[in-house]
Amino acid sequence: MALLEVRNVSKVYKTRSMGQGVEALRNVSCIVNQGEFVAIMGESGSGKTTLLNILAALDKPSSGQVLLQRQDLTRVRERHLATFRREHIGFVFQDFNLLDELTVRDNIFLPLVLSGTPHEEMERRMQPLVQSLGIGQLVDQFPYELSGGQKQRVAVARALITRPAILLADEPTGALDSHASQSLLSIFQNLNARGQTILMVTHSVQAASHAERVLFLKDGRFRRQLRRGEHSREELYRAISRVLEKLATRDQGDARA
Amino acid sequence: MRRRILCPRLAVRSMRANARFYLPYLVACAAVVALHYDIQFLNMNSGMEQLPGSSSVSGLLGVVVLAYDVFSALIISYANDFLMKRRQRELGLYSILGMDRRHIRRLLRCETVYASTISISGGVLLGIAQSGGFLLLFNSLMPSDIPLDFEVPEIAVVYTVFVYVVVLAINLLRNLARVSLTRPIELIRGTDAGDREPRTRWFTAIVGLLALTCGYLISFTANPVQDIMLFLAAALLVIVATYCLFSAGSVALLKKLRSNKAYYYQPRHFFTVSGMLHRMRRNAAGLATICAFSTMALVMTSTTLCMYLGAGPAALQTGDSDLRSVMCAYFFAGLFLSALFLMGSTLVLYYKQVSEGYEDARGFAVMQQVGMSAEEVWDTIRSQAPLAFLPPLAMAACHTLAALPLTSKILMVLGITDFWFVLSCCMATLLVYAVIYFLIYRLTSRERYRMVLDRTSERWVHANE
Ligand SMILES: Nc1ncnc2c1ncn2[C@@H]1O[C@H](COP(=O)(O)OP(=O)(O)O)[C@@H](O)[C@H]1O
Ligand SMILES: [Mg+2]
Repeated sequence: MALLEVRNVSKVYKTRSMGQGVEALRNVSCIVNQGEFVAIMGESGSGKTTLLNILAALDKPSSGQVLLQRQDLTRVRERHLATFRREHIGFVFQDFNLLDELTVRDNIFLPLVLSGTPHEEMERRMQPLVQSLGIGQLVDQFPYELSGGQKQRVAVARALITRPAILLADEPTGALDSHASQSLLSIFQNLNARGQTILMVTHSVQAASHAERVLFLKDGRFRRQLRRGEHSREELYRAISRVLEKLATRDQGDARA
Repeated sequence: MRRRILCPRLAVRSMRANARFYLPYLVACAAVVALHYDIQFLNMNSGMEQLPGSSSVSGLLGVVVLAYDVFSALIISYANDFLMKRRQRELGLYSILGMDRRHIRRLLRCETVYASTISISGGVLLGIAQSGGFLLLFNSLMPSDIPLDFEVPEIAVVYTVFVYVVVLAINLLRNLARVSLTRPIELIRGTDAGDREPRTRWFTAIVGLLALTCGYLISFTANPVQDIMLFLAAALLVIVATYCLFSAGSVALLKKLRSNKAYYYQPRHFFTVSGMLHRMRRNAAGLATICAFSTMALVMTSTTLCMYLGAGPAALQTGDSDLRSVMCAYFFAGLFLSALFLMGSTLVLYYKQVSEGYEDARGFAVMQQVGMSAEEVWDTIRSQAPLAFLPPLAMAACHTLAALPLTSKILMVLGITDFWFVLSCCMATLLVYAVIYFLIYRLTSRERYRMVLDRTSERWVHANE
């Protein structure tokens, strides 16, 4: 069943310096099914963040539609958007975006506080979550006392505590060392195994190879798609590398022609 | 040769880049210098000796100048430290990019030369311009047949320039020492250091409460006319109490609130309590300073107002022109010092607002990302911003009222026995001060919100790079 549907989305950034603006996304379409773990790969500047911000309703597309659970995000009223985002979408960022003045516990509670959830309910939801993420001992500490990997797991807990329909992650391993990246990615896989739909954007082949399906974004367009199917992670890793190589050489060919 | 050219240019550029912090600093320095000149202008005026009771008048003005020197040096140093803290990252970057310490020191020297030239000469010119106004006021209040003339006493200019060259030079030395003592990597971290959750300092909080009780008790029971030291002791105790209570008392109170989960985890309370806790930790000293300055301005203004309105007419009736001269001198003393403290509070308030604006901007982006609408975030910021600025005013008002028994006993000696009159002078001063404080707060808020907007859009651009 399609959980998220992106239909012909384009995004043009109007800038003061350039007359016609920057075309960050050109007529992009895709579908994410319930329970899938999808990675979107692309180089820096290919439009990944733009797409994710539109999916999270943090930004509006210039044209096209985004349907989450059959509801058109572009039609949600401005003042309901924040609530909608809070209730249906979890977001994880490259640079964690935790508030340093709040304890880990309060950072995780933040979206629930905004929804006016009773404190007992917050506590009840948090306990299993932090245990499964291996940050149970850290809840009374402050973000500045944690390592990058720990911070990112706190951010995941904050994103998941509202039990969102989909978890969006923008280069979640971008600021982590390889060990912390690895453990975050296996957390994503575990979450996915338990039914969490995940859409992750990345430029790391390593990270993308953990997904079930990989979409390749280049210059604001989807170029290719790979499915893991019955293959192992290593095989997917090699397949992704090959596709990237091809996309790169084809472009060199284009440039020559 | 090239270095010599590079450095001044870099100095100008970095002063311009930091205009948001540098400009208020220059303006504050110039204003402080101007007022200093004006006191000196009256004090050193050649017509002063002809005044009735001139020796006690110039004696009083001499004390005022001394107090003014000390407090204005403190205010300028505060602004200097704020500026340096904000710039540590930039200086650290220079040194990591290969500028050695000698160059950084030269850069700082250059900047100080420019800053002091601009602010001191500007200040003296402003002071000369203002002195005409003070002259008119002075002549209309003073019971003298020979009015003071407009002049520019050389000695006043020299003294003023000397004092502030010394003050700025001392600050330069402190800055140079700071640069020499810190490693570049610390310079880069600069602004974020010390951003720790404070431990509850019960001892300090209790010391604060005790000091406040003692200070207030002295005011209610002692007779300052017999022992003027008591007045100073009470003032000192209250200042100590203010710093203790702002830094430790507020944290203790807020943490108590935070530990009450049912209360704390409601949307409104959550942001208020955590925000206040965060602000108190960083701003306690600044807020206490605003409170102390405000208190001094309030006590001074209300007392001199009372003296002038109460004893002036009495002196007029008895024809005692010596007494009237002294009254008038007190009036000017109160005027100058109140103006200084008001400027000090304004500067601290402005810097507080700007630095909080920086922090708001970060919270703004994050809260939007976790599901708050832009309007909700604005509401939160706007509703909690005044909470941090109300306590200093409220506490200053409280101190001022508590000082009433003490000041009214002093006023009694001057023949002002009507307590209701003293009280109404005090209330009027409070009211006017509150209005001024509110206006300053609104003006500085605007700067702060603009800052949040700038920084927020900057953030989005970064996030999308
Ligand atoms: N706020 C913005 N204003 C103007 N152009 C932007 C903005 N955000 C992104 N862009 C441009 O859109 C393109 C895609 O950017 P982005 O989505 O951030 O790429 P990625 O996340 O894949 O690195 C880039 O060319 C970038 O310069
Ligand atoms: Mg990006």
